Amino acid sequence: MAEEEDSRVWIPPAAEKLTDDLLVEVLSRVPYKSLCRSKRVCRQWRRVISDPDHRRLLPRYHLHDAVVGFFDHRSFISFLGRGRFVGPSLPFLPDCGDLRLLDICNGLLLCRRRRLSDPRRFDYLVANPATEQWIVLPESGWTHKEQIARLGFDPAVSSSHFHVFEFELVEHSAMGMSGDHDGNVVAVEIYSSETGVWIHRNNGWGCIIRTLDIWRSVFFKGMLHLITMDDVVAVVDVEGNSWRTIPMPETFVDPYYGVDDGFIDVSQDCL
Amino acid sequence: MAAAAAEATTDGGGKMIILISADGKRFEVTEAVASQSQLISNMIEDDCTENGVRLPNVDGDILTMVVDYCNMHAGDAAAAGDTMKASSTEEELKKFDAELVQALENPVLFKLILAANFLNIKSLLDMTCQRVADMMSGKTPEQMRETFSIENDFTPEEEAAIRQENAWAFDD
Repeated sequence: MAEEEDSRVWIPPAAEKLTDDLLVEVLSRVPYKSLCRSKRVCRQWRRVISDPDHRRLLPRYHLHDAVVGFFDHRSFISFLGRGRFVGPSLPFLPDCGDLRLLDICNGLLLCRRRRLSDPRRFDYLVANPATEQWIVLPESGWTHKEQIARLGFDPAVSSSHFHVFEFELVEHSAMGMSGDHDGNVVAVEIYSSETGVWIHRNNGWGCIIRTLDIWRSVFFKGMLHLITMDDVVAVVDVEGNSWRTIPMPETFVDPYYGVDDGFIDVSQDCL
Repeated sequence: MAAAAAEATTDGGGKMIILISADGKRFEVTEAVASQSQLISNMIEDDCTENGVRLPNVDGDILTMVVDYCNMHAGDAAAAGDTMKASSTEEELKKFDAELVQALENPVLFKLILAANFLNIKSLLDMTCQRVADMMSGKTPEQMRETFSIENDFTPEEEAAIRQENAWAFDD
């Protein structure tokens, strides 16, 4: 108590004397979860954390902390100390049999979880391994068929909302080609965590778009960018209203055979 | 501090310069010690430390800590003949830093950050910012405010809105 009184005499709020730049210096060193909580401390902190200019700075430092685990296609392997692999799954998720990691976007994970009651059906699950929170999405209407699904989450735009894209495909088997997931994109279902519902949009690219589950996509500035077999990058926004294609260099080997796929990523001014 | 200054004057190598705090306290240090501050290093280069360096926004008690820190860390930079003083082992330095940083509480901690920033001493800035970050870790927003004596300037409505905004993923 005495100490508290003492400090009250001493402090004309000291923290407020830290300039924005210094606050960034401090905040860039706190664990991600604390950073999220820090937004609720006061206006200056919230402003500094939310400022798009600072957002570029904050996650950069977190790269050091971020290397706590690796994701492979099915599981999260957390990496503690020297070469010690711990926990073959996301330990905070409820025990749920077959869980498959579909996509990672700016710290959030999109998984497909088979239902224990009916293994032919599944749910989408979005999880934040940093906060160990997760949510199961409502049904998209395709709970029985594994479609290509992608996650769109950009904390620089909104740290509280994400989107999930599920591509409805026509399988090529009818044309004598094999593979479960390759085919034309007929339509896309888009889930918004803000509205809590899926919306349906027919393919608005105006051309045949074929993509593969194994290819990475990039969510950037509210748009999902997909690599395709059709020498374009296909782009769609979170509302399913804006569709466009970006030409890619022509490939001489048919990417369908997996040799010359190309890849897509966000460079952030460095490769 | 007086001891540190006295010790510094016995240095065979570096030229001495005088640092003057906001409240007029004078600190005599070698150039090697002082140039850990990029600000002062630049001033030495520009040859404008002749009449002492006035630091109008650093209090004497904070400058004492800064000078202690710089004396302790001057090992590498110290003059070649000064092997005795330069021999602070890495272990000693770590211990010194750990003790210094552990002892720091608000408001001294924030003042030291401001001083390290103004004087441009990167290692000290890193260390003090890390200390604040460590103190924040695992605390609720309320506890952070308490720790750093920050006033909650949100209206109840705003607070509710922020909670709502972070509701699904990032709240505690």
